[in-house]
Amino acid sequence: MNATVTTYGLYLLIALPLTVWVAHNLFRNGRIFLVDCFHGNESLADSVNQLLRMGFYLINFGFVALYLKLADEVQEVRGVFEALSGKLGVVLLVLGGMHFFNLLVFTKLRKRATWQQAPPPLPPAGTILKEA
Amino acid sequence: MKTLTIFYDPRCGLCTKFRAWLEAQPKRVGVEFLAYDSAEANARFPGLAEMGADREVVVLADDGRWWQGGAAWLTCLWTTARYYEWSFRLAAPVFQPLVRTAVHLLSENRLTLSSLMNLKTDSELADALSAVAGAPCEDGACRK
Repeated sequence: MNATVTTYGLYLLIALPLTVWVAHNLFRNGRIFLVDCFHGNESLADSVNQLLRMGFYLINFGFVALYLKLADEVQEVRGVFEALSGKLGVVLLVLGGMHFFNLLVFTKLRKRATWQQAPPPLPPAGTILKEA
Repeated sequence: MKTLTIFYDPRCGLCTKFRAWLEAQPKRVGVEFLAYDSAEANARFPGLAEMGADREVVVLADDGRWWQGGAAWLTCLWTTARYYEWSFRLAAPVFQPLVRTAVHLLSENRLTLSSLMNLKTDSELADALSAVAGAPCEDGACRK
């Protein structure tokens, strides 16, 4: 058990729960966006929500796993902190990026859903008064 | 809106082509094409003759709203089931100069484009169709 393995252990211990937390937050708060996109169809929204959460876990756990390896041996406690902050910093940025990307996709989906019922995009140049 | 009336130029091949395309599209509301200089058009839309409807196309909804130029083109796009989302995207302010320029160029040069692309006007098509002599049907159902 040396400094490097300690670093790996701490990295996983922090990165994995962080990923679960972000996924759970998106799952809970993103549901209403999906229900709106699908015009109130709650079971469809729930299905899509689950599928999105699964995809989110696959991508993010995959990234956390791939990013674990350190090129050099970690020296002493200072090295542990430095290696951890470097690795976790990138993981947090990636999670943040995924989070905002999801929000962007949800917003676009909602906008497209409102287009379905909306009147013509530009206001009319005028109106002909109808005779009664 | 249930029906959109489009006041087009029947002497322009490009307009006839557009009419054929739009009528064949699956649509969310009905469309109707009237020649912009016809008596019926003027009856439906008093004052149409003074609006330069040959330079900038005019469309009229059955609830009295009307659009002209680029906005009219986007409203036509809005009626289709396949491309209505594009009408919203192109309506964004960033695309307005592009839409207006494109529509203006097309309208200005429609007769030149029609002859370049060898597009036929309504009356040319009608003449061509009636010039073709068809064989009479066996049971006499078709009338010449």
